[in-house]
Amino acid sequence: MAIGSSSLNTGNFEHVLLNRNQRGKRRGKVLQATLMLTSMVDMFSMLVCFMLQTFSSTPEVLITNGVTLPDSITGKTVKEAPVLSLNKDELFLDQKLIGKTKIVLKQPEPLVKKLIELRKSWAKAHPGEAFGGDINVQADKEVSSVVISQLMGIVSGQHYSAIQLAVLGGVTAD
Amino acid sequence: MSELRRKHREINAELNLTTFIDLLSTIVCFLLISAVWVQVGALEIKQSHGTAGASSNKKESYELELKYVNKKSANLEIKKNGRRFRRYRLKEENPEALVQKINTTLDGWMKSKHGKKGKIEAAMITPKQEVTYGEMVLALDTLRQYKIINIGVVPTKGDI
Repeated sequence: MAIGSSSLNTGNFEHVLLNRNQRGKRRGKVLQATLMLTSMVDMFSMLVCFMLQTFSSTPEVLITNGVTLPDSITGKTVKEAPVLSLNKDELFLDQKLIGKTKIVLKQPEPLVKKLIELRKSWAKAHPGEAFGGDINVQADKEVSSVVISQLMGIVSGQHYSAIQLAVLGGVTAD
Repeated sequence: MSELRRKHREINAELNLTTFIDLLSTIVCFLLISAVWVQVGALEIKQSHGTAGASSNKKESYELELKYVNKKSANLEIKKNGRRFRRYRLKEENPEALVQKINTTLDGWMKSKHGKKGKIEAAMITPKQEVTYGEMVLALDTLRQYKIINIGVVPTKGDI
């Protein structure tokens, strides 16, 4: 199939370009509209004031998936410590799966081993300091209290005697 | 006339908004990134408090023991020197009402002659299989409202 002279005629293309240019000029006029800076600065200032008021310097605590924390009104600021989390059937230490809760409570060796490792690494990082025994426990509110008590027994047996139970809300200063 | 003009200029002086907006945007970004959306608190449990009774306080010291029987009933014992001093059998319609009952019982104790004289230095909670962790935290909350700081949980056997 041969290309006809009408296909190579640039007349149409030029027309399109001219039209575009004219449209561009029209748009240029619209761009000259001024931005109302006063209201924007007002909004920014209010946002900054609000966020500064709600700013908190406490360490951020990651809540393990599937864990619904209980509510409390006497909660205190969270300390930085290893996090033992417990959902309805699994146990995690610092976001790493230890195993099924039922199995771990019957055979706590893997958990004990990890706790000893953590204590040793803490002692290396803080030479000459007495071990505080802090540990954060995040547990689902529907878990049986007996499970928590048994877990506390295992944990306190490894010198983690200051157990912080993670709760929602009610954060007051120490 | 020239002085008036100078004054007029000073009044019309413009604030350079570009740097101001830059600063505000940077602060907003930083605060948005560092914002804590979920407030997580902590309830401290002290599993070993053997020295709690030996406090320097001149007040008489008592120990409290909350033993759950089931979801809706519990025994509240107040001990002095390891011996039972008072015992309250609490039974209610639901777990929330039981916590409320614990609260009113403790309130009554605090207002009594012994309660005013002495101080509850430590508390132990004995859980039960059917009592959930959320319900136990409610009880812990109630105890902490009465300034009982040394709270422990007794490891209890049960079917898991």
